[in-house]
Amino acid sequence: MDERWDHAVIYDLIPKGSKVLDLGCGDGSLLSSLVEEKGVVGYGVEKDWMKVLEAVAKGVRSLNLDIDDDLKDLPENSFDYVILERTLQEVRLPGEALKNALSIGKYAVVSYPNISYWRIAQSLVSQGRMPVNVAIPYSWHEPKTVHMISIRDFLDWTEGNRVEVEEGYCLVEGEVEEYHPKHTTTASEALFVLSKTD
Amino acid sequence: MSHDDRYDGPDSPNSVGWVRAEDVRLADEDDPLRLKCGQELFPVDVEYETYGELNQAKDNVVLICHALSGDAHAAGWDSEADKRPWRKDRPGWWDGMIGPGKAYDTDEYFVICSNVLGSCYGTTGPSSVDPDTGEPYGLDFPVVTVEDWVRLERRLLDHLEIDDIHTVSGGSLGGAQAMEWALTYPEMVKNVHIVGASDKLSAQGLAFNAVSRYAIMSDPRFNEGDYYRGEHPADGLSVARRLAHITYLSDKAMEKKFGRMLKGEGPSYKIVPEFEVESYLDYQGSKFVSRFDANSYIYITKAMDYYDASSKGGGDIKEAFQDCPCRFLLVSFSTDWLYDSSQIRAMGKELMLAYKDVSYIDIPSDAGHDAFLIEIDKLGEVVKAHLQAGDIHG
Repeated sequence: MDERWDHAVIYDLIPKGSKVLDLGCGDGSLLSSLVEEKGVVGYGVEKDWMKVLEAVAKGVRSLNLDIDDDLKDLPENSFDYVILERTLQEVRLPGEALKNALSIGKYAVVSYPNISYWRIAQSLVSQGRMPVNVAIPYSWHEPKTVHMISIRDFLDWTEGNRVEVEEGYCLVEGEVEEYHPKHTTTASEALFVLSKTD
Repeated sequence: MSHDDRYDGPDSPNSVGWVRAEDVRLADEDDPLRLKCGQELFPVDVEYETYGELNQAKDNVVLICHALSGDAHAAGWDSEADKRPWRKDRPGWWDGMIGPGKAYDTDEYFVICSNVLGSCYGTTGPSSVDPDTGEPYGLDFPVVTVEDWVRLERRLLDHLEIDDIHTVSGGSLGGAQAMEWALTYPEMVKNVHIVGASDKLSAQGLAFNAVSRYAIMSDPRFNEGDYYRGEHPADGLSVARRLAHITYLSDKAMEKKFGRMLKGEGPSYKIVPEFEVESYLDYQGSKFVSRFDANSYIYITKAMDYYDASSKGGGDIKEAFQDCPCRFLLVSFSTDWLYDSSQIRAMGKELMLAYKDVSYIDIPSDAGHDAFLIEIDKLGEVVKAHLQAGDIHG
């Protein structure tokens, strides 16, 4: 399992025995530890069949589905948690994906690279280039188009769509901190736990 | 490419080698087989093959279910191929999946495959002799269903003194049989592998089967199914098979394989078959009539049409599979349009919503429905991964 900070945060915040749907589960490493160690009933959704195969080999229940096309008709609250771990920026319709996640799950857990991180801004302004880094690993011309999500824009969206922000975490210079408005430009990545407002 | 390259020969370490079918009577006058249609049938004989060894705990059984035109000869080389000459130059239909070191590893598992009721490969069917008349049944043979196949196969396992199935697996119609095993005997089955099959055939699939049957039944030699003394309705059956082959290939595969190529130099401007794709279908049609019984084709397509796993839950797959503790693996192929990916995907989603142990993979392939027989490398990997994870985590 890689040492991703959001892995650890999500692992800690998901209660034992929850029903979890991991959208964009990749090779299933997060689910694998949740299932094995926390008794979670977990399912992964993954577009790449080879990744599904890796997840299956780990004993993770994984379905070769497309987040944009295949999650529209799932019943409300089928899962306790729907996870979008560094997935949201790569789907075709992020707004739809968030709405679906919040419908299918009681909570949605969303992490993404923060485009308003000052180093990105600095790179753009001083070098005239978008940085290609761990959080945003693709150049502009590569097929995996990445949606540019900033923390503030994201939180505006939650307000506009009557979505409750339950918890927030940021990665600030390698340290995990609870979200505070001062992090909007100092956080390289963000993670929020969302729920529907009644 | 020679046969030697395409297949593991009988002496290959990866082949189960020479095999011989077994026959057993599983229903007689005292213990007839009660069918879903309400009729009782006897005698019922079943042909089956086995590969590998049953272990002491009797918990290493893999049950393989064949498709429409398949048979019990799933792997290895038929040592009695003189009786069925089409088997001489090729091994069983899923030989790439079954054998030492293969996905269904015969060093580990005891693999069983039996021919379905209504077929013409050793198990009782419409070409068998009706004890009441002393003549072949023809259309007097009762209508059989996938449910009947599973009940009959249960008798076979009883005969072999087997109570547990490690894995039941099948492609196409065999996949339907595999899921029916999970529904009828959920407590017996640990893993279910459903390949290129969904809970029911689509309207389009029903339509193709209907036209296949029309083709057979409108052959003048069909004679209401009573043709065994004379010539068989080979023309009708070969048309049915041609049609079926169109549904087995993808548009892309056909284009790639044949395109608009002609056999001759240019168009002859005569009403004769001259496109390559026509001669391919002609070849498939004529090859098939020498090995298959037209009445069996009618009965088995009918069983395929009737099958609807969701009906056990009033149309709800979640409901239908509620009591199945099995691990499910569903596999579709990207260009399959007979059992379309979307249908199998939908079934996977339903099983997830029932919180079943399910995984679903759509294997990219140009081979259409036939991919379940062709994409053996990819399918084998998927099956292996699922079995190994099950043995560790399950």
